[in-house]
Amino acid sequence: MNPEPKPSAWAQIGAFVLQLIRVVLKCAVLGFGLVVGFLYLPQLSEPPVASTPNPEPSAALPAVPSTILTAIPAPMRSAGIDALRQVLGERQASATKYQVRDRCTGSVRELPLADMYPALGLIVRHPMPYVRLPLLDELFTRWVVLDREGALAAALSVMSPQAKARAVNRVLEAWVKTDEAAAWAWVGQLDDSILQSAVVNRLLTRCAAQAPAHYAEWAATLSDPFLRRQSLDRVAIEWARRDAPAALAWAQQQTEPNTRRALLSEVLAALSNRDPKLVFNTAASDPDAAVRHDILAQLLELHSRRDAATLLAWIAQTNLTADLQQPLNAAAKSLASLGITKLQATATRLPEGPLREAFLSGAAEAIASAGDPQSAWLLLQNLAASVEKNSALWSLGAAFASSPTTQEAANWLSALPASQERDSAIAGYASKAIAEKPQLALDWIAQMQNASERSAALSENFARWHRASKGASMAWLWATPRLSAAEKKALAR
Amino acid sequence: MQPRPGRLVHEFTSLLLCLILGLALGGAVSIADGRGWLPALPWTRIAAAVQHVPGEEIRRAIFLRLRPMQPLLRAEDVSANMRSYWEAGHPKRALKLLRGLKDQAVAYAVARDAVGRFRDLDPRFAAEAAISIQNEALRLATLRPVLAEWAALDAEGAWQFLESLPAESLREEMFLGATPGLARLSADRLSGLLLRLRPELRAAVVEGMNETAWQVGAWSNIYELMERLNLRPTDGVVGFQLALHLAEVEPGLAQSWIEQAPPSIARDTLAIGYIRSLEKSDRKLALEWTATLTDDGSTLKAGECARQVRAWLLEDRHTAQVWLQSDEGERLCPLEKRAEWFSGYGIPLLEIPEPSAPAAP
Repeated sequence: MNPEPKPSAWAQIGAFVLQLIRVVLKCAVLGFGLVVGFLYLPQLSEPPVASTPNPEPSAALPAVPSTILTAIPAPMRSAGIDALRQVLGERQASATKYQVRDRCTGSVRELPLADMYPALGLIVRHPMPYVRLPLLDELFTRWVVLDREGALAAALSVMSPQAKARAVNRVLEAWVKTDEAAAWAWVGQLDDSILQSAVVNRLLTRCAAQAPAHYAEWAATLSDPFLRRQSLDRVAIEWARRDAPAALAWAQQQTEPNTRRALLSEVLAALSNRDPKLVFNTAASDPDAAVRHDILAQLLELHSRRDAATLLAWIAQTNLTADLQQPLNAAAKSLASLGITKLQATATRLPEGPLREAFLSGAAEAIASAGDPQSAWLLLQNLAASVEKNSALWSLGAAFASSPTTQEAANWLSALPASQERDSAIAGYASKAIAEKPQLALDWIAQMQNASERSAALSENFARWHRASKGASMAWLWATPRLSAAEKKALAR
Repeated sequence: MQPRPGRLVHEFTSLLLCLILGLALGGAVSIADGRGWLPALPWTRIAAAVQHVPGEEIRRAIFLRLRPMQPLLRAEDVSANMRSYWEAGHPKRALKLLRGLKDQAVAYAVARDAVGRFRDLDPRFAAEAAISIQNEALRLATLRPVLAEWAALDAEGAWQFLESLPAESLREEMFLGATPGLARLSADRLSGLLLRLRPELRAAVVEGMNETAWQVGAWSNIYELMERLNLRPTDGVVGFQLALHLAEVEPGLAQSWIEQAPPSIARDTLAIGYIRSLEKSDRKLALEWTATLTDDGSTLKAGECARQVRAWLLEDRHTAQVWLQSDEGERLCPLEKRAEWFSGYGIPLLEIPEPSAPAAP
């Protein structure tokens, strides 16, 4: 056997060059692939919703019976679930939350029972709560029509408490239409107190108006004090909507003072639209001081925005008892836009003393806060000293600090006699002026009469200035002749 | 030299394999990197890299080509870029882009933009954007409304996000608006998260929940939570809110806690919560309870007394005046404070008629 002829040097060089070309070519192709892959592959890939980097962690997929998922061959599944999958699985760019919701709602409303669990899985996994929650409502509204028991079991398996409550509520709202007693019995035996609370509140909105006395009795027996109060409040609201006089009588008969007060508050607020005078008179004559003071104040304030004329007439015509300062003060604050002539005319109808002072002080406080301290002062200047007047003077001081000239405020403050009233006015002035005119503000504070209030106002306002401007505040502190050495040391500390 | 049969097929196949391998590797690197191409690179980084390119003319040419990209680093452009990543289903890339920003002013503006679009996003994405802000105060201020709304819509999701954060990064501010939503979670779930917090932060969060638990309507849950966390109402860490709201619905229980508590700041905290509920209906009784505050030396008791008398004077001046001049008023209200009310607020001393003497025989 002849040995193979040794290839020539040229042939060897040729083979080497060919080999080299192959390697270079492969490297080039590899590099090209790398670059194209790096730049374009991620953009080309269509990420399925399930593999979104931040899948909704909260609404864990309920345990789906495997039979449901496996027993139904894909072709048998409805078009609805496919449409739902497609819309919910689309990239976020394609639609706003409203569009997604609108596009899904139709599909959900036509889903067959077999597709309920897969649909629930798709919906609870959707990352946007403003899409997820309304779709859950739709799903369970449909599901309960097809299979109430199954819907309830599925609703209970949702993890997120808010989503669970919404789902359970949809089922129960349908259930009470067919068997109210059974639905409530089921609610009564719930051991999840948070869910029970959410469900009771919602169901009472549906049921309490039909049989308020029955549900009032039921709510009063609840052992959880928070749930009991919440339920009684809800019954009161629904009862007042249907039959306000009966609800009022029921609330007034309550023996536990706090419950009675809370229920009266709800019922009177509901009734105030229809018969405001009855409501005001009822609250003003109630034996409970809190109803006369706090609740009446809220009612008057609320009504002043709706119908100021009725309120003014009631104030003028009613023989108000002396302890109604607070409601009148609150009402005057809301009526301030009527102008000082009307307010003064109303005030003259009130008996002299606390009631009139509370009314005028409230009005002055609101007028000053609205930026007209001179008019406010017209209402206040002839009033005797009172806590209400002091509050109003504080607001006047703050309003004068916003005046375009410092002279106006200085003239007004200087004209006040040294007193607790002047101290209040200075404190109000300083609270606003410290930002723009800190030296002036502190000079005024140094003139306050009450030592403890002066000290408190000094340290509070000086600290504010010091935070804003350390050097200027310290320079003023050491230079001012208005403070004693002890006060300076205390402030410097 | 004759080519072997199938040689061309072999060559073509190996080239194809190279191409596939290259595509796969490139794609994988790009995805793993979590960032896109040049738009994700800060301008300063690009400019620094170009400075190393030799040749003035070449550098100028590169800069001329890259100039249009510079505005990408403006906040609105980065935001738009982030949005496009989010919309294309790449939230991780969007966040990576945000975290890669060197200019914190731009990063803050971009994160704020993402948070502002909370309702059109996955809340986790908005929260992650907020948490990427480096300045702590800005971070917390941006994160707080996100967590509050998230917890209100989906307490479980917000809880899981908080659970995923390292314990040392959890701050009280994160829970401030979120407690009403989080209070809807079971004690079992909440206690796990809260146990990771520092004890004082844990107590503050539970107290925040006490403030809103009555609206959620589950006393049993909040009580169980406190039991699990070994927080007693008489410990001084939770108390005011608890007493305030419990006194409203179950005053007997709130009162029994105060009575059981030894004199301490904790007892005073509970008592003040109870007093705030009581004072709505019975000022005198509230002032009686105020007198039981144990904090004799400080301004707590005097301040509480002054606050109540002031409120009473605003409510029913006459009755308050009578009380201030009565033996009870003398006993419960400090002398100097009473003098201040009378002189400072111009409250005149009333002429209270003595009980009429029995008629002379």
